[in-house]
Amino acid sequence: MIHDLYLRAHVVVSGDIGEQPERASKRSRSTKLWPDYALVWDTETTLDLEQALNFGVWRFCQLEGAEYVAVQEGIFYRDGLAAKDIQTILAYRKKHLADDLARGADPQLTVLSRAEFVERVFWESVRAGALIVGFNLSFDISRIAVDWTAASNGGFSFVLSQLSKTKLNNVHRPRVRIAPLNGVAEQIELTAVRWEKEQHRWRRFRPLDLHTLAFALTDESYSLASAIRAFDSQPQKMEHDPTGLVTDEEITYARRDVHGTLGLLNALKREYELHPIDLLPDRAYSPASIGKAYLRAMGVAEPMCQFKDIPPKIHGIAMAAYYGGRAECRIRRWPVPVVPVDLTSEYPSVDALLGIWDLLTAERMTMDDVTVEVRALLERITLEDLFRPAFWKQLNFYARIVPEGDILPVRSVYDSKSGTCNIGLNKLHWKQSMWVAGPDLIAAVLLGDHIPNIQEAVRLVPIGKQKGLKPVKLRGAIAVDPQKEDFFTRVIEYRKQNKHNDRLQYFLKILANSTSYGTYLELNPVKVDASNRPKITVYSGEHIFEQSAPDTIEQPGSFYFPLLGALITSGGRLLLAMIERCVRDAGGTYLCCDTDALTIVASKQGGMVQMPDGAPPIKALSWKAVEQITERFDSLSPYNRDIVPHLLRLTDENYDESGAQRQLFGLSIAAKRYALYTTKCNQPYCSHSDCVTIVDPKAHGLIFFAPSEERESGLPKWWWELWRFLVALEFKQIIDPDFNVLMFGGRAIDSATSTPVDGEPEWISLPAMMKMRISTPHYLEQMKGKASPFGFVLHPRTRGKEKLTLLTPFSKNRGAWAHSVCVNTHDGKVYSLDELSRANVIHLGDVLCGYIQHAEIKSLAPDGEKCKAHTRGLLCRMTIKGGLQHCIGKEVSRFEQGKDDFIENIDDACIHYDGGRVAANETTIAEISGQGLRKTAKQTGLDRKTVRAIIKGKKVKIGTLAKVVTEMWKS
Amino acid sequence: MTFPHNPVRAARRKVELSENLGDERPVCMYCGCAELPLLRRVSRKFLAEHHPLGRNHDPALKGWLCRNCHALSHEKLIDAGVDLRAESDPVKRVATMLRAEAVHFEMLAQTKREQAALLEREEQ
Repeated sequence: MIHDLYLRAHVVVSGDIGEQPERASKRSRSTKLWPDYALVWDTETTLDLEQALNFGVWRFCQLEGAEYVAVQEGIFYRDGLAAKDIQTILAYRKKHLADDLARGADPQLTVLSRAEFVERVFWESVRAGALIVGFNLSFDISRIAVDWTAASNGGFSFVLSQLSKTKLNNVHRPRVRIAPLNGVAEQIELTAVRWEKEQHRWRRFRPLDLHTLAFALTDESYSLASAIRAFDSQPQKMEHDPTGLVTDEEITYARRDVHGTLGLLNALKREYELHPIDLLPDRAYSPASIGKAYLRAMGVAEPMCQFKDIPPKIHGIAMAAYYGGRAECRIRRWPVPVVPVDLTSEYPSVDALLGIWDLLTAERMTMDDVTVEVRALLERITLEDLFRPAFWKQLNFYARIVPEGDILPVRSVYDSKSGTCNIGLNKLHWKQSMWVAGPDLIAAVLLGDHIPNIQEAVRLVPIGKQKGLKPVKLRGAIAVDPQKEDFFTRVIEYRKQNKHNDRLQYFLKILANSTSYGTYLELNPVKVDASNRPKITVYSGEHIFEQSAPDTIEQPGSFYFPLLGALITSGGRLLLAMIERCVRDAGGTYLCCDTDALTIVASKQGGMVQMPDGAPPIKALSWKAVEQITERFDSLSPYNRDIVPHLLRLTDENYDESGAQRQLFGLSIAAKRYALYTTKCNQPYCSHSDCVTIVDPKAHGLIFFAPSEERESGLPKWWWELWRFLVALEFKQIIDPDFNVLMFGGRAIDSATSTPVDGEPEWISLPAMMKMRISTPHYLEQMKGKASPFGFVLHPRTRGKEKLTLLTPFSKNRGAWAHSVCVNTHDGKVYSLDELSRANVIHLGDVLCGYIQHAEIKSLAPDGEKCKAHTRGLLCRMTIKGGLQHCIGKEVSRFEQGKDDFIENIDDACIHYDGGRVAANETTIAEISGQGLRKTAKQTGLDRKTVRAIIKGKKVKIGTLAKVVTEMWKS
Repeated sequence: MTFPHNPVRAARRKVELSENLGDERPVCMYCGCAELPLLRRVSRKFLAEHHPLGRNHDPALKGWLCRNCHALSHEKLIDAGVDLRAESDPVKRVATMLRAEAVHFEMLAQTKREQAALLEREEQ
């Protein structure tokens, strides 16, 4: 099969494209980490799609000692709010006093209109350098805005102040610009005012979203109530369902929310101050921000500055060799006994094995030619060598090879319908050479049947140690000396040693993860001004070209250094390949794998497992054999054995409540879509109801359809229900091949009896509603402006026969979803969902049906054909013939998960640097020249002028060059 | 402790005054006064920037002074016959600076005596 290959690129922009958020965080000497004042506020809105402001509450606070204490409390209301509602607020003010203020402060509640609040409180607080504090601050700022426009950075630009008489925008006040940074954080900043001499007034703006800060500290996306609980702050949030009205209860609820937010601010401040870092809390956008601040606190220099003599071509080589974690399904839709195993802190372990810390803290780094050495290494390497930690220090290299059926990670569009890139570990043939990271090459030798054809190889060699490295205390408790210790190893060991201290060990986990891999590949998309596109140079392996910048380009983070990042993920895949090879050597196979975990087909005694459709049985390893494999990895562990006993271990799911190992079974549909379960009868499948207990359900791709809020064992309850039902359906179909299920109108119908299937979850007939959050103007435009900026909406999925894109306000009341009143964004008409034909509305049952039919497109069916919805059994690796090379940016899933599982972004899948036109590489040109212009034109159906242009190296349409490459492969 | 009627505005004024003075917590070096309004800018100069030896004689030596102490120090400099104008003769210039320094130390000495007395009173 011919597939185009998509390789990542390192991009160098000529000229500056704007300040990068992290770099802006380097504070001046006078900026205090925690300023003297804070404005804590929240808004209450209507419950329609507009979610317009009803009223809001603020507490202005002063820093007294270590805590912020409120000195004023007030309520503000929408300009033009109904007179009776204003009267309600004024009457409330007479009946209530502000509570929990600093001693001596005026206890009267202040009441202002929105415009007054903006002028007298908001802007005054900004000028006072106060922290502007909220929980989901972007939503609150957007509620007090009177107008908005699309900002040049892809976000919203909000107008807060207008002149009272003319209603023209007040040019003496800045706008607030909000653009999403990642799924959780937004960059909130002020735009410039018209007069430069007024600009200094606004430079003290310090917006602090507590949701973002809590996420940065814990890597958890909290709601206000759960954050208050997690950080033990007071007071607790009130149990209350907002009504969208202005009543005494609503005002009391809003005041309590703001009071709770202030308590949370103080709790987060206490937690943040434990970290000896010089990062402003309002610039802590993610755990990676904290991780980078720690690296700076240890005096580690930014690698791109420290190693600036490494040319961009080398970074392009690393980016071309970069792939994320490996996830695949090997046995599809067939239940088997399993023992899942995983690696302890995979990436920190790889860092320690590959000596990444020595590279990161080196004085200098050189790239040595090791072509001869690598060729010899590949000739003699054995699996046993890889179990010696010292051997891994040789694997810091990149090699250029011509793939001749080597098993390598291949990023390609495997399913032309979806059009998205996937990474599969497949046999690759390519007529041109490509760069591969050292550990991937070793994995190719381990899993393949021949030695790769090495053209050249270069190795990273660290020289000396940076000056200025200094010890740091992690969370104020544990000292690490970067000069003498391997940072990653120490962090993991300390984590295991401090298991009793939840907060500390959780923080250490986050720190290890954020500094061990992602930081070196951090790329932030930045919108480019269409009127002034800079020139960019794209480096991707041997492919180097210049072009004008596309709409969005990626700006590197401060510790971006792909030479390390690509090696680390590659090392992770090598560890996984080693487990796979051990399993294969023992005669076994695996159900599925995901980044650091492999689910091995194994049972207590071992034995043969029958496969479907008369396929040969497979061998299940015995528990003992699995244990022997895990013990083999102990020699590779970089950790102190007393603290971290095993590098490869059996996952917790393998053990029952008493700690005894139990027999698990697994059923996998596709990569990341599987469940582990136990059965009372100890058979992989059976016809008894209530025999199956789900142990570990995965619901990749379904997270946005939350039909219930309930949780079970830390996971959404409906995941467990989903898999109970799916597993039962699969068993029925295996036992009775004639059994067929039809999903109609959200019900699972037995096609033989036309009756609903037993055991279907209650929520199966609910309409499939996607939770969405409008975080960019582009997204709002797709909604035809029917929602409001940063609004939370539900989008009922419909079948695309009619122009029907529905939106309805977000509601937690699932029972009422079927009767939701929706707006069609195409024509503005209002529909009740139950008025529409059931055939037009997609129900969760339909989604579920699609879920189980999701094919593992990266692999082939047991018969060697394409993997399809009904494919069952042991899949096999594809053989890929490489077509064209495309240079791409960061892969982004079409639906990006954001706050509380709301979809944030449905923008472009990823950046293509070739702009739809590509030039042929040297190999293709040589082949066309060898074959002759006339013959090539005849074979491909292209005119000679086009073929001549291709030979001259000019850019042509991708489809045009694809025809040539396809014909070349045929011949 | 009492709070201003409009704490938000008061906070803004305090921060802006402090920033205008260019120091986070300016304190008068003679009397210890830390009230920002007393240290505010008058005419075109920062009153806080007092040059004990005279701006023309040693521009680098600066300190914070409240309005009262600033006025008082200049009275004493005049009384001591210190000419604050530029002096080209190096001997005369050094002599002027020494006189100005004497005034500065006298005022500091007076401050220290008062602080010592204040401490003793508080002790009693």
